[in-house]
Amino acid sequence: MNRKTILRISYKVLAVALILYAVVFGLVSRLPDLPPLQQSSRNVFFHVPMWFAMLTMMGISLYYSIRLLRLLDPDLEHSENPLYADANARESAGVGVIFNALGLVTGIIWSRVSWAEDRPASEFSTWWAWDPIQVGALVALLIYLAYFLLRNSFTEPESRAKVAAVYNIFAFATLIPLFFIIPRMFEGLHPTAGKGSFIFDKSQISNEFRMILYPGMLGFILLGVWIYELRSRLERVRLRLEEKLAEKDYRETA
Amino acid sequence: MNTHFLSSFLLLQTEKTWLLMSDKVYSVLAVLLLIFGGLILYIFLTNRKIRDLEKKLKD
Repeated sequence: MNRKTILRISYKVLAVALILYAVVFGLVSRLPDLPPLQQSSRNVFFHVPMWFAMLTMMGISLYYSIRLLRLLDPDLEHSENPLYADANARESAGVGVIFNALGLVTGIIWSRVSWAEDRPASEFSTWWAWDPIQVGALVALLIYLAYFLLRNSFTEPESRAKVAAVYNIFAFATLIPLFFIIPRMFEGLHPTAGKGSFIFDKSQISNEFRMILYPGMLGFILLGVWIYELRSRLERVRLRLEEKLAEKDYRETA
Repeated sequence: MNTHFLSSFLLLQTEKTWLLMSDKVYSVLAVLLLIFGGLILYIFLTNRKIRDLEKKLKD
């Protein structure tokens, strides 16, 4: 077994171990009482990692988009097929979108039981709080869904890869104001809200929470990398198969 | 009325919500179910993609 294989196996084992730890201890450990949240404060161990996993996936996607643009530079000598970088960018953005959607849905449930617990289920605001981060996450989801729509509007693989890569760089840049700047200018449900949170403050997140939150976060990030790696390998096989089929067609017609 | 029907349908939600029961611990279970359900669904879709590719390889 070479070093790469050992690394590949060990990060998967670590992902499973950390997620198991977060699920088990996240459900059974004693935690400080946060009155409006009650037992739902345990959601922090599962809802927050979704966003960090999403950001990691979008970061990987950004890396491959930049790499693709470098590979398309005619002055650069290389033997790598640029479409592989495009496939990696697309697959990691896809996994990121899944984490984004999961983060949104889990956030809706959490806000329903904490902020909107006294409201009737029939009201829209019970399910959607118009919190700055919540709205930012929805906008980010729409931006990345548009990335996939944009890709589908091209038939020629190289121009699709090039335009999608440029769009992806700008899409990632929008995540910074959406998640880190705008929410700090308003009040909201999240403890990171700049003008205060309606539910709980950052200072209430004690070390008992951090002991489970940080390993869980790492676990979900590694799980995201695992899923991405699977999909990226699958996509590489598909591309190679298409290359072989095109070669065969060319030989038959020649 | 429509919003209520939709929320009831999506989250098995009634006026006396189960998400708030037992100090809101059910909300944690719902969150866990959604996360792992979502990820399993995504892996299932990946598996379908693999099967399509295998079929293509056979052809």
